[in-house]
Amino acid sequence: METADAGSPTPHVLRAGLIPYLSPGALIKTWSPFVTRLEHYLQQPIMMKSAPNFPTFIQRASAGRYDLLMVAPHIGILAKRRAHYRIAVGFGNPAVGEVLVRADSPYRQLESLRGLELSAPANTTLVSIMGEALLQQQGLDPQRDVRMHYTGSHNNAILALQSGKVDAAIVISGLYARMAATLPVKLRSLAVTAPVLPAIILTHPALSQAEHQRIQQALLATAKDPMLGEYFLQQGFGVPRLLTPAEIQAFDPLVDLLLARENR
Amino acid sequence: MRLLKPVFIPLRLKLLAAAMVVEVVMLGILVWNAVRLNQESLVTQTQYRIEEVLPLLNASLAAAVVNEDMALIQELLDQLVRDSGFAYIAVYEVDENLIRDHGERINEVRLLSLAELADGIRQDNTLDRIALDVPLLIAQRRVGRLYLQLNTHFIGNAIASVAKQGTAIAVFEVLLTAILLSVLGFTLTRHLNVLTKAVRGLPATRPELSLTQNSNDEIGVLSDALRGMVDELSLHERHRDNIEQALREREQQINLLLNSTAEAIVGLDREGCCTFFNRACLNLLGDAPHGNLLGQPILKRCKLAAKDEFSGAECSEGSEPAFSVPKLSENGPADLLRQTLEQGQGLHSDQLYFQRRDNSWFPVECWFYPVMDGVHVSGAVVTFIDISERQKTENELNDYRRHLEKLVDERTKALLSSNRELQSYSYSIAHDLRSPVRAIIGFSQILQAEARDKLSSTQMQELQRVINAGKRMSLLIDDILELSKINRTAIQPKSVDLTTLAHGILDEWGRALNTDRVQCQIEPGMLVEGDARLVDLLIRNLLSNAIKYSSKTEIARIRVGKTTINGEIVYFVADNGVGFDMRFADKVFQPFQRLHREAEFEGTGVGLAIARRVVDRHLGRIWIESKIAEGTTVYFTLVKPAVYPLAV
Repeated sequence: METADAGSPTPHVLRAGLIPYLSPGALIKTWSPFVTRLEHYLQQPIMMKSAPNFPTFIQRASAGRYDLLMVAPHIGILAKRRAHYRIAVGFGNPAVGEVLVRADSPYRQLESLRGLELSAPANTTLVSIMGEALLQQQGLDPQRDVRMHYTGSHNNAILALQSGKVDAAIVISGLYARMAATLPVKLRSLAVTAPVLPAIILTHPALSQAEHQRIQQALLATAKDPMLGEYFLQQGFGVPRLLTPAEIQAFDPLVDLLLARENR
Repeated sequence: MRLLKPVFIPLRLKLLAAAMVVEVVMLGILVWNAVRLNQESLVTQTQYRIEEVLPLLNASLAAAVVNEDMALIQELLDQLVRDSGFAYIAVYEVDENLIRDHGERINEVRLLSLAELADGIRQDNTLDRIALDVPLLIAQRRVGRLYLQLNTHFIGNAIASVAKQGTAIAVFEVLLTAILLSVLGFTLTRHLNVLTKAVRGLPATRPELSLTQNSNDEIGVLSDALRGMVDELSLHERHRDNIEQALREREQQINLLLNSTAEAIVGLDREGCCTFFNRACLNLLGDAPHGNLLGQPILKRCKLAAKDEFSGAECSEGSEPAFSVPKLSENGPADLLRQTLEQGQGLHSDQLYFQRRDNSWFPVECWFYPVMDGVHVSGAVVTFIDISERQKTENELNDYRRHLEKLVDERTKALLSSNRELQSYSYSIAHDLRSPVRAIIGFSQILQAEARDKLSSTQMQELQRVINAGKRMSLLIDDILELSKINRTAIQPKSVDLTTLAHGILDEWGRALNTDRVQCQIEPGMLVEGDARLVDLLIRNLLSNAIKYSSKTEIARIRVGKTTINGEIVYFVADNGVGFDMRFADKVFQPFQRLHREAEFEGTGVGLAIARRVVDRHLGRIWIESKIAEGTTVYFTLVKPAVYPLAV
């Protein structure tokens, strides 16, 4: 007869918080190859965690529940401000958000979206923030001139447009190109946002500096890992690299936008 | 070694025991199989249920674990416990921290993997619970762990219930079967016992009374069959008694026959040892009246010997035994037995001698009969008689015979001498009388011619009567001489053409015969062996008689021919003349015997006597057949001996 609970002693497991910009399955599937190689370099298991939604995640991240935080830059910076996370690396390739409409629609300018309904992953995602910022730059107030529908993920935002529930969708650039072959309705890009680094990785302030540096070195080592070359290419994130103080400072407006949404 | 008497076990107990064993084994197999199938069904159901639930659970629970969505996790756990019968569920993170659990946890539970689930339940269905440890995976990555405790007591309970129900049904069925078989066995054996008692009582009891109980099943059939068998047995028994009685009577008769006959009878096996014997055998061999020859080699007291080897011994002659007479060596008796056994046929010998108990020998006439056992000869029966007296009598008879032959020979010689003298005398007389008779006739005729005028008519008639008497006397003398000449003639046999001979005689008589009235038919090609002159005399006399005694017939039909009677060639001369009364047939062949008056048919009455004498000289036979007014046929045969004896 064995004991009921077969839990065995394990080395300290790093809790990695992943921003829920995808469903948990897709999230694990997307990040698993990278995390696996990172475990290899760290010689330490990593437990990927997320949250049911962005606010919860932001709340948990702010509460310091994750040893590693793998998030969009604005959330990372917010966590740095609130829970003193330390930025380890950022991913090199900037991400661009884009506004999609159906190919056969009459909309040619952002202005023409006035009074229409738009879909976006969530109001706290980087792309949503960037997209709404773009609308503001074109004279449209996202709160009044359009009606926003937050679908929880980029995929759902595109699917809402496909099904005709909305007239336009704000999603990360390149996603539709990967999905186009499987979608029945052709879409076209109406506008794109300014480029921004898609993600940064931070460590918990409770970790020692040495531990922080060890993790940072491991993350940087993955950039040269031949087993992840193809992976990084497919994901389009680019490879982990150290961020300059200027690059870090450039995220502050986005944090402000995020905080402004919290206040709304 | 004393054999133990087998213990009597009633048939119904054997049947009951056998049926019970089969019943218990079969029901045991059925119950065990039902339990096993039930267990398998429950195990399979449980396995299917878990295998159905776990993938769905994993998909939703793994995502909830990643998202640390405690509300969803709790909801899923509640639903699992409620709907899927899990007693306890716990969800752990990768670092084994418990996220949520639900239900009452028991620590001493056997932990199985999913692959081990079915076998684990099968191996120990007494477990109330089993535990499953299932990793929560997303894209092959372990994001947590699910620990489940599943109630399995219902499987054990169900199996126990099935086992109890099956056992109860089995026990009930066994009891029911036992009762039914007991009743059936009792009924069966009751009938059998009745039959057994009835059969045991045979034949003293009246089985037809005991077997009258009927049953409309195989027992009834058996009863009928036994009744028929008993009837048949009774019939056979009566038949057997009759046969045994007949055999006893036959045996008594045989013993009486064996012991009453003077002929010794001995049975021998193939080795020549005595298997039975009769009283005469003991008597002849000089053994004690109650002696026992059984098993003794009887033929060792028997030997082959020349007829005169023993004093006074001489075997009979002349009698032809019905048995084949074997060639015997010095080991004669054994040869006889061997040949009898080998050839399987009876043998006979009168050259054997048996030795009496006092060592004296006596001659026997002996017969060996094979005893057949199917196609094989199993032994022989030897019968023999003491021929001492017969040999003695035969010797005496031989002496008498030789004496008689000598006497007859002497008498015959004397008779022949006397007969010759008598024949010579009669011939001389006849010969001597011829001249005086002729003188009488001659002188009477002279006298008749010269004194015709001087003699009266009466005297002339008387003289004529003298002449006629003389002539008749002369004829008689000629016939006597002829008859005598036949006996005196030495026969010279040769082939004689009887057809030509008859034609020649008729041609010779041709002028005297009235051919218009006499029709002669002579068969061609008749050849005989004999003396030509005597055969001519025979045919001449027979033809003469035939023509003479048919002279008063309008058309005389004379036939000379031959026929076959009893395989013998017989010649005949036939006519259609006056015939005669066959009562006088014996007289016709005697000399000078006449059946008709001379006035009717002239003659001396010597013709047929001459014919008979000729046939006798040829050792043949002659006889006559006749009917009055229809005709006469004379038959004769002629034999051709190497040497014709002289007539005596």
